[in-house]
Amino acid sequence: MDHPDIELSSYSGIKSDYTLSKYSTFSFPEPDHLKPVHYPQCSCKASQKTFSKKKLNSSSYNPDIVDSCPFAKQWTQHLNMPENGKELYTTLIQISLETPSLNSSVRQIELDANRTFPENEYFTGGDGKVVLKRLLTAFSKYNQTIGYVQGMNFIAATLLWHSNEIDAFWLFVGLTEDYDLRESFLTGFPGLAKHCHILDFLMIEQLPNLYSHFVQNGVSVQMFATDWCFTLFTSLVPIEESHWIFGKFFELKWTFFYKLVIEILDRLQEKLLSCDDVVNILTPLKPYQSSPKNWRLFVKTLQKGKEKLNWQKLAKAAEKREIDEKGVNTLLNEAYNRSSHNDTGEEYFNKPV
Amino acid sequence: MEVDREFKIVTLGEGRVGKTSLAMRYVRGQFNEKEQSTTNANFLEKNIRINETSIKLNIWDTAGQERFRALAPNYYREAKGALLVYDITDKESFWKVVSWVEELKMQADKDISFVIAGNKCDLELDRQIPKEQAIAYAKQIGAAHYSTSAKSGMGVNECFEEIAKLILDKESRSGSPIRSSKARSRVIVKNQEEVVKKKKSGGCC
Repeated sequence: MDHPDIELSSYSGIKSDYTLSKYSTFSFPEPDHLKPVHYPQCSCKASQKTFSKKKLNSSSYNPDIVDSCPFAKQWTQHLNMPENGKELYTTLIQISLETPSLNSSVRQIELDANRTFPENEYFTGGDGKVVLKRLLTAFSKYNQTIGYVQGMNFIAATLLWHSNEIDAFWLFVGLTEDYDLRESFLTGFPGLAKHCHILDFLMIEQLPNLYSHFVQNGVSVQMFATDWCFTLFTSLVPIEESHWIFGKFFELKWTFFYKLVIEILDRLQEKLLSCDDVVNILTPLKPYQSSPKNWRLFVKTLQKGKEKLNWQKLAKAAEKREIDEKGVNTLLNEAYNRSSHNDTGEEYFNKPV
Repeated sequence: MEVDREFKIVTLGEGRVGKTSLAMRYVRGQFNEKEQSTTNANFLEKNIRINETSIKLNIWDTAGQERFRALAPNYYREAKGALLVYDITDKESFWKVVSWVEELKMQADKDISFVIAGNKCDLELDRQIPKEQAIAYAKQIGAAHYSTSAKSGMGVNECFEEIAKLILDKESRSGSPIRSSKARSRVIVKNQEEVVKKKKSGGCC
């Protein structure tokens, strides 16, 4: 039986005209496509009440009863999640299965799956790796202009940590489309240039001594902020704590990101001013990242006096920071007017004639 | 300790060939089977001595994904040496080295020295790139080739030190120390200095 066109009208305005006409003849795949089943791994209290990992097994799987944790549910409130998100997502998976390609995205996803939170069992040994690959591949089909870019793996894994697979996918799409993460990942990284430009501006405003110290020593914002920008700090913050960062980011968008970067630089200022070459300056900002232990150590290096800092407190401190938001918005608008926004047409979602 | 020379070296190559692992093995003597993928770049340094010259190597370890090539010029700019890494078990990664060489010849400092590292030599059984082919290519472009294993440590010190030697040689041939000799006298406590013996150590080719 032919399936009627799926309309994406419930999702963001940009895509309200799009339909799945090209694939309209497909019937929806069985949940087999979503095996192994993904369950959120976080230990946020309420999420444990809504489902029990032990009681559910894949034979009685129904993605609708796998609930995202309360944090992830809150994030979805900031986005227009599509009503038929599950159908669209399973269709994308079907597309990736039917048109397996050996393009660079698929290859790189394969290479990176083992290297995403390498010390986390769920993502290295468990089902998480399969689910992560599935989600990233689906996204590379959803938006072939961007495809897959290193850094996405950490964001996607962190979203999966807190939410069911469908929510994780649409949260990720929301970040790229409604939160302009798309620009960071486009060829040539226009978003990166924009954010670094704004951070330059904010450093001059808030940390002028540190800024000139960086300039004198040949350190540019891009050298240390690129990872932060591409992964929204998820490659730096332990996965169990990154919801504090995400929570604020979904609420305050890039303003929060800028505030957090300035907060970190401010807290490290004294140390950084005493370092006098590129590598020495960058070392405190880019700690060796391979183990959660080191990640935890990083936040400790930001402590002031007797304060016991964690990522939650740091996020709060950053939020309270005052920055020249008017100036930031002017720069953002200028950048917006310069850029063309023509990459959102997902290749499989055709505009009706 | 006084530093006579300061050289910037960049690591380039496809994703997951082991660039970060080689740099970490060299600078910190560590190997982590579960190395996280690199976004952007890592920055490391190590002080060594070659003959009578003490050298600080600044190693800029870059991300391997094709898309990040757009950022690479920021990293190889002013680099005096490049370590081009491929994975001996992955043919495609070798062709990436070839294309990096082409790009560096066009875009990088004209004095840049190359060393090619065929990494993951501990996986000899899965080898896809014949050693002879790699060595022949290296010869053709005037680079040294090393078989390395970040896991076992084989060839790691040698390939980085070879870069330093090549840079020093070029300096002495051109008569004047290359620009990067803005040697600052200062005490370095961070990394242990390593004395490189005069005799050529094993590992090359």
